This record gives sequence, structure tokens and C-alpha cells, in this order.
Amino acid sequence: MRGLSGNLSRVGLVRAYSTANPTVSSTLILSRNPVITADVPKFEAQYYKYQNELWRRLMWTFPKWFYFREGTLAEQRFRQLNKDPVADNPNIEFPRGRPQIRHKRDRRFKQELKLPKTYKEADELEPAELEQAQDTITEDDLARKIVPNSRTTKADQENDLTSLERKLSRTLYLTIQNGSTWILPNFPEPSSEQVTALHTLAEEGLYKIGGEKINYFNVSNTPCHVYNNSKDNKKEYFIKSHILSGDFQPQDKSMKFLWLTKEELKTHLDKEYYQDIEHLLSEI
Amino acid sequence: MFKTIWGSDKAVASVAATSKIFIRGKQKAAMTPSTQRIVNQLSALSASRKQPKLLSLCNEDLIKNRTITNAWNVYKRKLFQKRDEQFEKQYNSIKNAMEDLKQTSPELFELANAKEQKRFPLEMRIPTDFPPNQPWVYNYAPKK
Amino acid sequence: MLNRTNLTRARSLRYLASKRFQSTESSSTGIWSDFSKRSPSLKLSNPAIKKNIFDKIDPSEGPASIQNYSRRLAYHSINEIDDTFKVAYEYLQEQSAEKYQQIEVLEKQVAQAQSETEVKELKDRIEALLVEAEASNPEVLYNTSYLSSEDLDKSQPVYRQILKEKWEAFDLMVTMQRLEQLHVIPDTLPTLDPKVDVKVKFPHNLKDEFSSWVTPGEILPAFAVSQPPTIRIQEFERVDQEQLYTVVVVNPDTPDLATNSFSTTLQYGLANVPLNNVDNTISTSTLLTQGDSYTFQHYIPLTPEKNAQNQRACLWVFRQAKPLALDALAGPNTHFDIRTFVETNSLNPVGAHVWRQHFDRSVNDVRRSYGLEKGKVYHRVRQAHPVI
Repeated sequence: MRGLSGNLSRVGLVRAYSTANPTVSSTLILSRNPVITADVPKFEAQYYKYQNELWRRLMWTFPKWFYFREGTLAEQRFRQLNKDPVADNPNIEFPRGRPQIRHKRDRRFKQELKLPKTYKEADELEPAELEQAQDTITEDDLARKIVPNSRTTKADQENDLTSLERKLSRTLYLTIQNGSTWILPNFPEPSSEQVTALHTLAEEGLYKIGGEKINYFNVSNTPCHVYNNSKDNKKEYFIKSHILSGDFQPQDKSMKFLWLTKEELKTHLDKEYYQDIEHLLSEI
Repeated sequence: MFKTIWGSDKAVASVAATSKIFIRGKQKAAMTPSTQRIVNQLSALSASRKQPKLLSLCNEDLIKNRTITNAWNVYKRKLFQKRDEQFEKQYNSIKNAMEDLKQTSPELFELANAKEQKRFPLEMRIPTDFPPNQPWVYNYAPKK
Repeated sequence: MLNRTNLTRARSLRYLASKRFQSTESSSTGIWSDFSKRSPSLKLSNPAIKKNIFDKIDPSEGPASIQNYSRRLAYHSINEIDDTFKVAYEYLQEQSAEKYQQIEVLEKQVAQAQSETEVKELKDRIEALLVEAEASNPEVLYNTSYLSSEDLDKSQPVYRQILKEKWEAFDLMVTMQRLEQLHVIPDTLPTLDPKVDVKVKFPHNLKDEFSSWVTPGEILPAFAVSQPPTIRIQEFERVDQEQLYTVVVVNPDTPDLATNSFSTTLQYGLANVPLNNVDNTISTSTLLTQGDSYTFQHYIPLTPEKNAQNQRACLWVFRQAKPLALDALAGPNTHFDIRTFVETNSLNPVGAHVWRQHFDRSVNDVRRSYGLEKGKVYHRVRQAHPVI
């Protein structure tokens, strides 16, 4: 009976042999979608770098005359930043090949352009200027250097597993503690005559345990998976949904919950249970 | 490549036109600023003298490049295979769940398949390279 | 006893070789730098080029594959290519190591296998895996791209596979086109399912024009074909034991005056020629040493008479199912029926080649040297009725 229950193709068999009809229940896969793009693996990053180099090497020369009119201040600034390459002087021997200059670009190599900036980098400033510069930087200064936010957050550093701000590049799933084991939130069908739709059951259950301050999007009303829980004689239908904003605030103070990635779920969930639902979880 | 007529040239040209003095070198036709602008624009689009030298790699580098491409193809193929397997499993799992639900509880099956107007949430974000100043919006109040 | 000493010597040599290899390239430890099980022919033999690929092209020396000094110095590589290559190489090597692990498992199964068919099936799978494991190895890539096919070790499945792809891409297509356009198919045999690459040359010629490999369908003068050809039969499938081959050259354009038509003549016949993947050539030296045990019809070059039309020398290569008796094969060479010959000896045609000849100044000399009677001279225009 136990051995059979994990196997999906033998659902019918399980039904035939079970004594009492299993309870229908709805399990919610509540995921927080990634906020930032996925981390690029080492090989991919290196490959993109190489392709970028190839692309730049094969790029046309920048038509400077089109963007900077001769004799203007902008053109002068551009010229100051971009020095001319070594000219092809017929009287000079070039052991590494003669330069082939067209439009002030050596067409054997990629063209590297520097554009005038509205600010100075930290290493370009004098020490005296440095202090002054730090004081004068303001949030609404349009000329300031734009520094992007860090991809790791405070929650990552503190390893706060209950925070929605951890692991921004991954999909997180809500897990709650049920006795001593961790499970995805599961809500059994009430034993009244009137049946409740699976997705409604999941929604109501979620509001009941996590409060109503959750903005969530239910992907579909149809279940995406069924798990035969032979231990509790339960049929768990899985409903997929995303949390969009708000927070999961446990109504029962003793209830423990975590937001976990796929790999972390593997260590937290029951092994058999995890293997059964593994394909529903996102790698990213 | 395309140069405007300098002031001095213009002066020389006007002198040449009146006094017919011989001037050494190729004579350039005067260009109005609007013509000059069009010439500039066209020259930005054309490939003339702007193309880099053709890449001609030595045998060693060709082998390196082919190895890199081979590795990339293998890598991508593995990723796609993994993804396709997961999709197939997901499809089978949906199908299986629905068949099962139909037998277990026809009422729930009906409810699950009931047509409902669903709207894609506007709050859903597309992942960006760097997080916003506030990575997550907490102050959500349900509409009631 | 002798075998044993040989074995130990070979083992110690291999050990020394691997030691030496380790001392020069201590940095790489993957499967592609381990030659304890893999053949050394999978190695890139030129050390300078190998260094260029695996380390970096030194800008003060330039790539070793460019001969011209100034061109070599003026060479500029692409940025990031070396770092990316290293990562890619590691990745591919890991994939290859997985393949080799599978091969090890299969090899254990081969040792335990009961039936012969099972062994063959397992060996086929091992071979396919060996090809996959080595096909993207940059050293193998270099060898197959820039070395001539003669220098490649045909005992390695990966080289055979790549050579087969090259053959299918060009030589096979040329051969099949010529066989069909010149109606070798179906004038001699109904059709051909090509399995081997057949190449022919006449090494007795001094001029390059005639001594190199013959392009199928080429018209050759009589003096250029006056001696038996060297035939190279490249098998692409694995040959476990020795495979026996039969080779015949027939001329289906011999004028038959009695019927005012043409008959087929057997010009050359070899049988029971043992060949394998590596030893694949029937050369002059083979013929000199063992020619008598193979030949059932000595070579007679085609000697077309004056005003006879172009004559085709159709060379067919067959795989034999069993050894044949040479005495039984020998017989009159005129009015040779190649289809019955194939059927009675249960031969399997696997390759073919064709060259053409017509009357030229050297025909009479060749006739004289082979002791043939003086050639006829035909009318320029073929008549509707037999001459006799």
C-alpha cells in the first residue's frame, strides 16, 4: 500500500484497495517569483564575454562626424578623451603589423570609445576633492554616478529564511511546519454536504493561516498534481499561485513558516514527498 | 572624408571665379549646409571605410573557437533536454490529476473547470538586473 | 615466454611515456590528457601548436601554424578566447569522462557476455560512445582538420567516423555520379550500396598527372594503366577479425562482332585478399609477395581498338562471406558474366570505381608487351549489320 501510493500510474489500484474513501484536500504551492534576473553560471558568463569581444571586433567604426560637429565644444571634449591611434608611418617598422587607420580607428582591432562623464570616478579625484564630493552628492542630483543596488540583501546576509527579500534571483516557496515535518500548506475539504472548489479552499486556507494581507495570483483553478498521502489517507491536489505583494503573517503565533528555494526544500521536506513534487518546482 | 568648404577656400574660389587664376589641385564643388547634412547622414549609414578588417584566424584559434562552440551547443542541449523533461512531467502530472479528480469527485472537477474571467495581475514584475530600492511591497490592503 | 617479456616491456614503455607526459603537462589531469587507456594517436603531435592551443599564443612568437615570419608576428588573436577555451575544454572533458565511465561498464559486460551477437551489439555501443567521447576533443579536431587522411590512425573509431563523414560529403557523391552517368550501374551490376571508400592509382607512372589517385570516370591513356593498379579499400565499419575481399576489373564494352553488340571481359581478378581498418591497401609490394595466392585472373590492361568507342574499366570490390577456392574461380576471361559470378560466390558488393580508355598511340605497345594479337581497326561509323 505504501509502496504503491507514490506511483502515479497506479492511482486506480490504490483506490480499489483502500478501505475508506480518502479525504480530498488542496495543497497550495505559493511561490515568490524572482525579483532580479537569474545568476549567470560561470561558463555562460565567459561565453557571453567572448561573444561580446567578437561582436565588438566586427563592429563598424563609430561615425564621429555624425554625432559631433567639427569645431564644437562637445567634439573637443570627445577628442580629448579619445586619442588618435598610432599612425601608419611608412618610415617606421611595425613588427606586429602595420596599423590600418580608417576614420581614426585601427581596423585590425575593436574600437574603444570613451564618452564624457558628468561626474568623476573616485580614483580620478584629488584627496581634498574626495571629501567635498561626498558631501555634495544628493539623491536628486542628475549628474551623480548611478550605482545599482546590491543583488544580495540584508535578509541574505542574516540568512533570514522567513523573509520575502531573500534570494531575489530565485523562486521561493512557502513551507509551513506540521508537527515535526515541513510541508507545503495543505487544507482538507470540510466534511459538509456542500463542496468547495479546490482553488477557493486553498485561498480561504491561506487567508486563515497567513492573514488577509496577501496579494496573490492564482494561475489556474485546475490542480497541477495529485499526491496520494497514504499516511493520513488523503488526496492532495496541488494549486499553483504567486504572491505579488503583502506578507505572510501567521495568525497562530506558534506556527513556523519558511520561504525556501528548490534546493532548500529538498533538505526540509520528506524525501518521498519531495521526489513526488520535484518537477513542479522551478530551477530558477 | 566629407569636409565642409573652409572660409579660406571659399575666398579662393570666389577669386578664381572672377580672375581666372590657375589653382593647383582638384576643384571641389561648393556644398550648401543642407546638402552637407544629408551627405553626413548617408555616410553614417554607409559601410564605406567603416568596416573592420575581416577576421582571419590561425588554425589554433579556429580550433579554440570550434571547441567553444561545441561546448556551448552541448551545454545548451543539456539545458533544453532537462527543461523538456520537466515540461513533459508537468503535463503528465496535470493530466493525471484531472483524471483522478474526475473519478474522485465530479463536483470538484466541474468547479475546477468552471469558466471564470481571470486577469493577469498588473503588479507582477519582470525581473531586472538589479533590485529596486525596496525589493518587496509589504503594505498591501485587500480590496473590500 | 617471448610474449610475456614483450608485454612487460610494452607496459613499462607505456608507463614511461605517461610519466614523461605528466612531467611536461602537470596542470591538466582530465581524461583527455590521460593516455594510459587511450591511444597516443589521439594526441596532437606538434608540441608548438599544442602549446598555442592550451596555453596561449605568445605575441612575440605568433602562432606556430603560420609559416611566414612577418605574418606570424603580425597575427592578433581575439580577446578572451583563451580563457573561454579553458572553461569550454573543462566542460567538454567532463562530458567525455562520463562517456568513458559508461564504456568501462560496457566493457565489463562484454567480458561476461554469452552469445556472439550480444558481444557485437555491446561493441557497437562502445564504439559509438568512443566516437562521442572524442569527437569534440580539440586535439582530435586539429588532427582531423589539418592532417591528411593518410596520417590518421584508422584503428580509432573517431577518426574513422570523421573520415566517413568527409567521404560521404564529396568522394562518395562523385563516385556514385560517375557510376550512374557512365551506366556502370546497371551495365555490370544492378546497383551499389556503398560501404567502403575505393581509391585507385597506378604508381608505375612517373608523371604526377597519372601517378596520383584516379578520379572516377577519368579517361586514361593505355601506357598509364599498363601495370596493375594500387587499390585502397578503406573500411569505415569496425573489422573485428580479418575480412576477405574480392576485387574484379571488367570491361563491359568489348566489341562482340558475332552479335554486333558488346560483351564483358574480365581484365583483373583478385580474391581472398585479407584487409582491415588499418592495413587497407593492395599495393605492388603485396602483389609481389602474395600476389599468387590472391590472383585468379592476371591483370590485362584495356586495349581499345581504333575507332571503337570509349571503354569503361569497372572495378568492383566485394566483401566475401567465406574464403573462395581460386581454382574454381579461374576460367576464360571473355564473355564474363559478372552477375552470375557474384551470385554463385555469394559476394556482397561494397564499393566500385571506374576509369575509361580509348585508342591512343600507346595501345599497340601495350598489346605487344602483353603478347596480345594486333588490334583491329573498325569503321568510323558503326554499321547496322555484323561485319562477319
